[in-house]
Amino acid sequence: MPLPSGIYNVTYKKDMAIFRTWDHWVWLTAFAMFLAILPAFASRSTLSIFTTIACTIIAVHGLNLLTGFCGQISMGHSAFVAVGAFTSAALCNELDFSFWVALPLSGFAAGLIGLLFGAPSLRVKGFYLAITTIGAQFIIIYVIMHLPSITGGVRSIDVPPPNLFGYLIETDHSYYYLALFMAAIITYFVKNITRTGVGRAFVAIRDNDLAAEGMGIGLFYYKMMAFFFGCFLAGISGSLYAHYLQTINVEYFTLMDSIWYLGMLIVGGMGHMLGAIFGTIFIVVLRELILKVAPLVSKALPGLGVEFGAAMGLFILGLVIMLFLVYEPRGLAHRWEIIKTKLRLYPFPY
Amino acid sequence: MIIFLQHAISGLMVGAIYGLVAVGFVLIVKSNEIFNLAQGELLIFGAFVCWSLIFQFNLPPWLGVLATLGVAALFGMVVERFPLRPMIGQPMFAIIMVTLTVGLCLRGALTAIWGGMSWRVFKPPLLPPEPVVLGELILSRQYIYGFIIAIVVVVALSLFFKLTRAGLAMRIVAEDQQVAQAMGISVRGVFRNTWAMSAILAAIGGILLGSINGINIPLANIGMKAIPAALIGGLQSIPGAVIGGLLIGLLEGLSSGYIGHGIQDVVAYVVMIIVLIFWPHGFFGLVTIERV
Repeated sequence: MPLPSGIYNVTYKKDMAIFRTWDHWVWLTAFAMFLAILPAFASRSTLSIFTTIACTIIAVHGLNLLTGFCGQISMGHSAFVAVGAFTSAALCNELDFSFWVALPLSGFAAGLIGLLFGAPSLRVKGFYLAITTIGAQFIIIYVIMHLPSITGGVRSIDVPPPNLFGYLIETDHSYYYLALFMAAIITYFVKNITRTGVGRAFVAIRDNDLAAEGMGIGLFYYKMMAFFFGCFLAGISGSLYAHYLQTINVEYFTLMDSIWYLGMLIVGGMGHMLGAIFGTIFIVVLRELILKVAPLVSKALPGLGVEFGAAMGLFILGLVIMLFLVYEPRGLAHRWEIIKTKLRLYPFPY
Repeated sequence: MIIFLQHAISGLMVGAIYGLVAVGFVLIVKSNEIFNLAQGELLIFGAFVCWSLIFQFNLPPWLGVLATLGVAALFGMVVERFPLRPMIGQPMFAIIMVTLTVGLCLRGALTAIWGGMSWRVFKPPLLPPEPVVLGELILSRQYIYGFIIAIVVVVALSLFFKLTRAGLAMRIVAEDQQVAQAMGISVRGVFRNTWAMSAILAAIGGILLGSINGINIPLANIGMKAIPAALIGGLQSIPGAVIGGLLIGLLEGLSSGYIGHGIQDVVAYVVMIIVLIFWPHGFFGLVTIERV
């Protein structure tokens, strides 16, 4: 990707720096300021969408580490999100843990379960592993449904809001800041993983696992690490989301949700930090739009029946992901790089 | 003992239909290395079309079934043409996601056309419903016919692969696409035929299941059980897929009979994970040696 003139990659450290130019600082500060003052003029429903996006971004970052960087396809990601959500709920409800302790613990719980289902990756890979992770989805949800004493089974359970030094974070405004803060920290954490040796090992395994092993990368160790980090972030996301909704039900974590996580990654662009963010925003906003438009369509054309709205949503989301796969397999992040380069060179073609 | 037999046999009967769907899955894997996650949706598509043709357009049942198979074959070709042909040469992950999104779109479209959760029941049923009583065993005659049809179809398919030119062409394409082209075989044509055949197999499975239990959209999840069956048997083996399907059906029948309702959705995956850990290519799959 061409950089502005005057930027030379003299050292590896400079090449890997997050902030390459002063413009980056300016843009980031402006963006942070925008997000910080957004609650002053945004409506509650807008803020709720932003909070959902922030929580989801964390899970998609996890999936990006696992699938986008390390190449281990996980089709059961929402089950790991569920593990995080239910662990956090159980710790806060049964053992009176504080949210701030339950949050990392639920991440660890999801990570450990992830290790369990990642273990077959020692023997199987590719499509076989993908189906194993679908198995994880069904098995985890089955276990959650059959432990009603801890998880409430098929009923919803309440989750207390986080308590920060006596201040309850329960309004949309305050939770927006919490979710945003967590999403920012996690983004920084994942970015740092991807530009250290671990991240390079992940990419080597994704590109050719046998060659990576030949170069001295311990396949099992790094695959397990990818599963742990990916599921850890899923657990964090689940915990955050559970405390935001203040009620959770096993029905929020279906195979369909796992597919949407993968869809977000595809639409955004796999193996790209911005991809996870763009894809999440795109799919969540699209889903909200469909939720807004579907009742209008049902009202305008009553002959189509009540299920038409949901069916249309499924169809459109599926079609969008399919078109991205066929026509823009590198996702929005790639398109964004192209636009940036074009703007930088404007008015010259190259 | 009689209860055990009852559970085991009813499980095996369902397993035959899993096996049939799994064979459709394996066919596509064998000839064009595409893992089709939309197999379940193709199945309910066939079932819904058949139901509509017979009970809404009042075709005689045999004509309705034949027309359904034609529609399914055509639909399989369409799916091969648009989203899948441009994906040739793309990574495996992108291709399976494309088939998954085909499934999602199809599920959405079917829900919009035929309505989601409401059951469509074949009335009068295509297969005679009276149970067969063998001593103390009570067997559903529909399941027995379903079982027989499934086995006949699979045997016919193996003969087709062994004896006909088209079957030979498919086997060559599965072996090596470039060699096949050098031999004057149209690889595209083979892909098209494979998708048509796979869609037909899914439709037969759909019609059988639909005429036994009725159809609704969640029936598509059965595709998610045919895949573990195919993996247990080995992705390149047609007899393996049938054996995998029978095994999963048997275990589902026994586990839901003895452990409790609900376990049957999980047992296929538990068995599959255990089998894959010890036989990473399934029981009869092609063991490949990889080099850098």
